[in-house]
Amino acid sequence: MASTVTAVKSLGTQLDQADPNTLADVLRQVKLGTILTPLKKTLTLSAFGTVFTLSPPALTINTFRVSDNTGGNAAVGARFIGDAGATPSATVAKVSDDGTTVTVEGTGALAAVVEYIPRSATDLTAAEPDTDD
Amino acid sequence: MASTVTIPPTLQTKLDKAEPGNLADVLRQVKLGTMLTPRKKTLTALAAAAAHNITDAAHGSLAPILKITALRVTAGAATAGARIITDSAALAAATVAALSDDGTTLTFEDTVTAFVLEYIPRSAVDMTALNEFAPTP
Repeated sequence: MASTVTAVKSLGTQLDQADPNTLADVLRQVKLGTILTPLKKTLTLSAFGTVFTLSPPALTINTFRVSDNTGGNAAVGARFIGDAGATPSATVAKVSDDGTTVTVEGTGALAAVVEYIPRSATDLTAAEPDTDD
Repeated sequence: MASTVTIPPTLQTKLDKAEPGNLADVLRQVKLGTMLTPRKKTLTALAAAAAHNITDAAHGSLAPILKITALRVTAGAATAGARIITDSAALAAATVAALSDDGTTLTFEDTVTAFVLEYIPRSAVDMTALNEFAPTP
């Protein structure tokens, strides 16, 4: 029996379709300008710790370096970025699935320098209400 | 007393606003097609140096870097092999290369004469610089 597959209407699918009638509205929600502008931040915790928060969340991390380990025992230096299931170490930091946190090893550090590309201001995969007539 | 905050017109703020009246002009400056096309460049026979500006003529006048996906040294006094990328304030090492804030210059721990670079280019125009070409109301 034939079946019909209905694509979920999300910001991601609408951006792929690039309908001239809705493109500007879609881009406004995505905030493409923010996505395409790389960020460089020094993240400093009030006390040493293992979790650094990214705001806005990251789409992809370009560089991550522990710059100050005062109080903690995380190694100072650059890191590979692993997924949320990775084990942080002197060479690996892990990023959460939602792109909001980076975790370092051991008892942590006081500060880190991060360069990253932010993700869309609105979840590109979330279903959008159907407003078609 | 109430205050008014004026957001400076930059490519970033204009692209965020996505006004139909100037959206095409903004995208034309950004060169979105170029940004969304990953590049792989094999650079050889370079003058031996620890710092390489990929936007100069000797390196093929490449576009500045938004995101490096892979970097590998293939010849020079520096250790051959892949690198982690770090920010400009860090020290380069046998496994680490530093990238300048403007995305133009890679620095290795010693002199390099050849390397392979895979990357995503950044906007053709600085996204955060004042941009008055089409003032928004």
